[in-house]
This record gives sequence, C-alpha cells and structure tokens, in this order.
Amino acid sequence: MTRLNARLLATGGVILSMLLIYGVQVEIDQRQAHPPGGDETLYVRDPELMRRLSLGYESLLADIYWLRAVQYYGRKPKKSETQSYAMLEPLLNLATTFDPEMTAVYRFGAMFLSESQPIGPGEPLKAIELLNKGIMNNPNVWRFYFDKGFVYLWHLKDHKAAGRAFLEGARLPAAPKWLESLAATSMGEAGELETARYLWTHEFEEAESESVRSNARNHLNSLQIDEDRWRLEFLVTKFQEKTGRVLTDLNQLVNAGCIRFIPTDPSGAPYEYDRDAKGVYPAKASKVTYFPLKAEARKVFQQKLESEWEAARTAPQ
Amino acid sequence: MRKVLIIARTTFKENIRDKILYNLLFFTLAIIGVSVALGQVSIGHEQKIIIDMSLSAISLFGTLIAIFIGTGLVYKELDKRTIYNLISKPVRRSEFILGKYLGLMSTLLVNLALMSAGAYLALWLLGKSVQSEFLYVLAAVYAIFLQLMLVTAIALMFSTFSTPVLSAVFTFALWVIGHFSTEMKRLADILRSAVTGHICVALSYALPNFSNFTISGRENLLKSAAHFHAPQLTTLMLATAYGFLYSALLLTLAVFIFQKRDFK
Repeated sequence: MTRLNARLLATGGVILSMLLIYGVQVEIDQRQAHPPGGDETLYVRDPELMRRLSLGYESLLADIYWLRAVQYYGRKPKKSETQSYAMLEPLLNLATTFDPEMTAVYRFGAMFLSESQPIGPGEPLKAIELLNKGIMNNPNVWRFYFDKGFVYLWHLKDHKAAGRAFLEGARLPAAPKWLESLAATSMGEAGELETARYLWTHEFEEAESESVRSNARNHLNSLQIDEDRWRLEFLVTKFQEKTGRVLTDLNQLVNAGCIRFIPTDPSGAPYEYDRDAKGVYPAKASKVTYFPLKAEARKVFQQKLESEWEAARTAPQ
Repeated sequence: MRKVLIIARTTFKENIRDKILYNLLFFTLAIIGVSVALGQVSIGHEQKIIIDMSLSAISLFGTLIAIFIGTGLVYKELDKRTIYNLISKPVRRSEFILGKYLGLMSTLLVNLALMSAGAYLALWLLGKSVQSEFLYVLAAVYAIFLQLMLVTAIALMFSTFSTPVLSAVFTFALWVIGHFSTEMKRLADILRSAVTGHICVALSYALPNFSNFTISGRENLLKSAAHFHAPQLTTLMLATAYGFLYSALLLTLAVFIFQKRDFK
C-alpha cells in the first residue's frame, strides 16, 4: 500500500467514524427524548443536606437551581402532554435556601407560582409562602410587600389582605409614596377595574426586566378591552331602550349619537359584535392576550356608566 | 533568603512550561465565557451568575492546579535526579521546600490574576460598564488565594514522602474532608459515645478547615462578592491568620519529613 493510499484510507476511516458516531448519537437522543418522568426528577429536595454537600459553592448552587426553575417554567410540553409544575416550588425553595438574598427568585418565583393554568400552576398560596420567606430573609425590601399584595388582590381577590400587605410595605423607609395610596385603593370602594389598572401601571413602571414589563403592558391592554367591551355593551342596551330596535352593527351607535366613534382594541384590531348574544368581543386578530375580569368587577363599572349616562341625559343641551 | 528566591524563580519558570497549567487555565476561562451566556438565560441576577460561576471556576481549577503541580514539585527533582545537584550545594533543605512553595504560589498568583481579569471582562461584556462595587469581588479572589495557599502546602507536604498520584489523592481527600469540619463538630453532639465524640471534635480542629475561606450562610465570601456586599473585614482577617498559620505548620512538617529523607 502506498503512502497516499494509506493516508486516504485513514482520512476515510476518520470521516466514517465521525458519521457513525453522529448516527449513534441521534439514535440515543431520540430514544432519550422525554423519558417518562425524566423532567420531573429532583434527586435531592432537602436544601440543608445539599448545602452541606456544596463544599462552599452554595451561591453557585442557588444560581443553578434558579436557572433550572426558569427553564422548567418556560419549557414547552408536547401537544399531547399537560404542563406540570410539580417541581417549580421545590426548585425555588432550594434556590432561596442556598442564597436567601436572591430577590428576583422570590419575585419572579411568586409570579410563576400564582399564574393559573396553562401558564402556571395556579398556586397563589405557595407564592405568598415564598414571598413571606423573602420578607423574613430581607425585611427591608418593600417590593416583596407589593408583590404579596398583588397576589392577594389579583389572584386571591382578597382586598383586605392585599391592603394590609401594601400598608406594611409602605411603612418601610425606602418604600414609594404610591404604595400607601395603593393600600387605600385596594381596601376602599374603588372598583376592581380601577384597582387592577393602578396595580398593573405600577407593575409596569417598576418592572426591572422586559418580560415583566411586557406582561404588565398586556394586562393593562386587557383591562382596556374589558372597559371598552362593557361600555359598548352598555350602549347597545341603551340603544335598544331608546330606539326599540335591535342593534345590527356597532356603527349604528355612532349614528344614533350614543358615542362619537367605535374604539379599536389597544392593538388596533376592531371589536366584533355578536348580534344574537348582544355581546362585544375582541377580534381574533387582536394581538392582546385577553384575561377577562370577573362579573363582580363589571357591576361597579356598570354603576359608573349608569351615572355617566344619567348625567349626560339630564345635562342642559 | 536569596537562595529561596532563586529556587522560587526557577520553580516558577518550570511551572509556566507545564502543559497542565494551560489546560486548566483554558477551562477556567472557557467556563467564565460560558457564564456570560448563562447569565442571559436567567431572569434577573445576571451579574451574580457571572460572578458565582467565575469565582467557583477560579477556586475549583485553582485547587486542581495547586494539587497537580504541587504534588509533583519534589517528586520531579527526585525522578530526574536533579535533587543530588541541589543538596550537594550549600542549600538547606528548608530553603529548597520554601523556594518550591513560593515558586508555585507565585504561579498561582499570576493565574489568579489572569482568571480574575477574565471574570472582569465577562462582567464588562454584560453591562458594558464598570461599577466601583466590582472591587468587592477581589475580596473573594483573595479568600480563594488563601485557600490555595493551604492546598499547596498540603500537596507539597505529601510530595515530600509520597508519589504524585498518591499525594494528589491524599490532598484532594483532605480538601473535601476539610469542608466538613463544622459537620464533624455537629456529629460529636449526636454521637452516643463520648470518646468518639471527642475524637470527632479533635479531628475537626486538627484537619484543615476549608470552610473558613468561604464561610457558610450570610458571611459566605463568595456570596457577598456576588451580591456586591463589602466583605466582613474580621472574617477576612481571621481567614488570613488561619491560612498563614496552617500553611506555616504544614511547611514545617514538610521540611521535617524532607530532612529525614535519605537520598543515598
């Protein structure tokens, strides 16, 4: 065998081996994709034991568990699978035990835990527990009180508990002035829509990351859709009372002088009107993820609309 | 002292030529580089992740460098028979050991400086700005240096009477055990036998306590650096005293063993 042939043979052998290795690896990967229970395994759940085994690298372990929690929360299951969040709380607990000063873990962790299915496990009480741990470890961070009040107000609909949390936070030296007024708003007579708008506006203004800001922006837009829908549906009823006719098109409201123009949703998409149900809905093309407020919230707003309507009717022309 | 410095300089030059040093240095810098990407995956605490990963890599790979190079320091001289040239000259064995130790420590110092520069570069890449709090990271690097001082002294002590492989195993084992000194004291409280309990307490004081250089809980020096907290001065001073005293003790032991060795 000549030297050239030997070289060619060796090169061919190397390339062939590399291709074979690639083929074998692909096969292994396919077999290992989504092993049963593979994602749901947390070998050590005892933070104290892990801390003792960490050889002083507990701060690094906290980062690892936090990154794992973020990946776990953000993963996309296959269409056939239902999203499970069983490991989320233990991961957050481990991260905050290794490093009790990681404020983002408490704040984002509480947000992840309290979001309802399908985007979260819907466990606001566990979120409160996590925030209480944050408060215990970092008693001067007012943002934990804001988040706690937020969870009480938004997810548990407990206005009094929310108000208490905001008030406690407002007593801290670094707390902003608006936290006190937020406490008053949530405990007072203001409707849920106003309180929610106030809350999300501050969440938007105080957001430290783009993902939180974008989520808050979407919620504010969603509240705008609620307000627009309720207002338009109220006018639909009044139109019928006034004219005795059934409204077929929203533009008839403008022609009848009930409203100056038909608003579009915050993403610019026009609202859709269902004549049979007499309901106004956001368009399918809307870019806003809509989270409708509960019916109780509508009642307070309805009263406001009634008084506005009455004032407009009795006002001198 | 001049002789010690000459041996130290020669050891430094010799170490610089060691391939293992470059391999470990490369891995450290690679991990620091990866930390920038990992920091971006996180939500919040991006800087903390970079600092934690960098300091952990510096500490871990620094320890490996100290173990792998430290355990071969004396053995190489014996293996190449260059020790005969040295001991035939007017050089005390204690000067030889001290020179070797200082040579490796200076190598480690240069390495720490390079690795820290890598960590600072990673921090700068993330924020494109320099904050005065970044200086607090140096306190953690100093604590790592103290830890490496002790690891090197252990490695050198073992290398005076054992093979590099065994010395590396012994040093690594001591390094791991040394992180459990506090646990050993706690173990004494739950043991039924008072004698075993006393042995545990005695061992916890006798064996090198590496948790002194990290400190668990809020005073953890690595954690403080990652949160840009000013380091606790008393903690640093005590760690310094412990590092210097224990290293001196081990070097004395190494000199004692080395003096007893017969090279005939």
